Amino acid sequence: MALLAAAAVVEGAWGWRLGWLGGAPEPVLVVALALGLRTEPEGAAAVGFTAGLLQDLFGGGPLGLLATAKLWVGFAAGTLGRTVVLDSTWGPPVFVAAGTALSRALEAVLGSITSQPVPPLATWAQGTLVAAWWNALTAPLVFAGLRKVGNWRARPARARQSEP
Amino acid sequence: MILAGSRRRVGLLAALVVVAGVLLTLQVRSPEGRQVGPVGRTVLSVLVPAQVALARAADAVMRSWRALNEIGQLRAENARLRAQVEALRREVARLQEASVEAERLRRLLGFRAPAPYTTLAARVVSRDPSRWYTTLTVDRGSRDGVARGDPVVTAEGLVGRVFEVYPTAALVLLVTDPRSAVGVLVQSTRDAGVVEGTATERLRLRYLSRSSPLGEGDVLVTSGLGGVFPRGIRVGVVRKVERKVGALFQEAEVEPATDLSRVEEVLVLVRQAPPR
Repeated sequence: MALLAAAAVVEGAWGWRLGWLGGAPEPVLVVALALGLRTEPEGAAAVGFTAGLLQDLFGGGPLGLLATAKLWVGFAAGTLGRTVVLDSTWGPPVFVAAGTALSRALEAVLGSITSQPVPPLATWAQGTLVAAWWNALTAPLVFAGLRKVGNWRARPARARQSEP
Repeated sequence: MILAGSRRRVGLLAALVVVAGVLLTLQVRSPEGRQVGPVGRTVLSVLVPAQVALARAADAVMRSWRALNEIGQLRAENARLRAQVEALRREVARLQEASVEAERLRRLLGFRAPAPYTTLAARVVSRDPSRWYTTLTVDRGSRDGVARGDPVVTAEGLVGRVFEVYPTAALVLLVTDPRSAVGVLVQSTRDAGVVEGTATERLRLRYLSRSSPLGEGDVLVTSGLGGVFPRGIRVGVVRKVERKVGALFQEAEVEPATDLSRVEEVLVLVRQAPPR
């Protein structure tokens, strides 16, 4: 939760400055995907929902739109978590790029359903490509950082297990 | 046990979906399409200050980045403007040159060649750098009718005489060359003398009668005697008179009428062939 909140703060403060052709980096999504891969699908859905809700809060749209979209993205991440090879060089970027595309597609669908302004297909595709590129670029860093945090948190437990 | 866990997870997912759906529906149906509510406001009130701080930091970084970029742009613009200034300076210099040249040519045009000469304008194309005041080359030669011995003048006065002639150029021996000797008259008294070159900027007046009342500022003109130079062309101005005890003649230091170090256009007085 703290990581997602930090990512949301960073995204709101810095993300748009790197925006280009309708797309910008989404650290919240990258963190949510990285966390979602390590949990059960339902837990990942909850992570996605929280991430989307934070984005909804900092954004100007109705609360729940991005939350719903990210919920399903998180669920997908949790479902695919066991099949994705995270230790490979290209695994995280490709996975995050695909997650970004899925997220943007769901946002567009939900936006259409709820009569929210949705960009034309070409603009949407352009923005999706740019966002996917940005997110794929940051994915290795985020994944590596989260792995280190996970290892650091698991240290006391391992120490307890090794005691006689 | 496994079944209970699975049901719980499905229940969690279903709850999330329902919450999300209800939330979205309520939000969309609200008058403004968005209602944050007290919980959302509390979350935002905690997180927004951090975001503001980060945004300010980002602003500072962006400002620095822009400043760095502007330095590059300013350098490029500075170089461009410098090049422009340089080009304009060259243009101004060229126009000034043209103006000065036009003035010189205007004065040259005012010069009337004495009979039996015709004037031929010529441009100085080179000088002997090691002998600054003695010879120069003009861009007129035998093809233009220039002949050895032709006088060379400017509107200000005498320059010298043609020393060597080539088809398209001519070497002019300046009056300041030690080989040069010009018969002159003191314009005011009509006393005759000879002006010789000294290989310096100044000329030497010799063979002027000791009795001639020569003074500083007196103008010397060609006498026309000797047949080389036509009569009445200004040769120079007396700057310093020297009367040596026991000498038959007086001498004087003369400043040439033409500034030979700066002359760029001249008139060659081409002798007309006598009618047959």
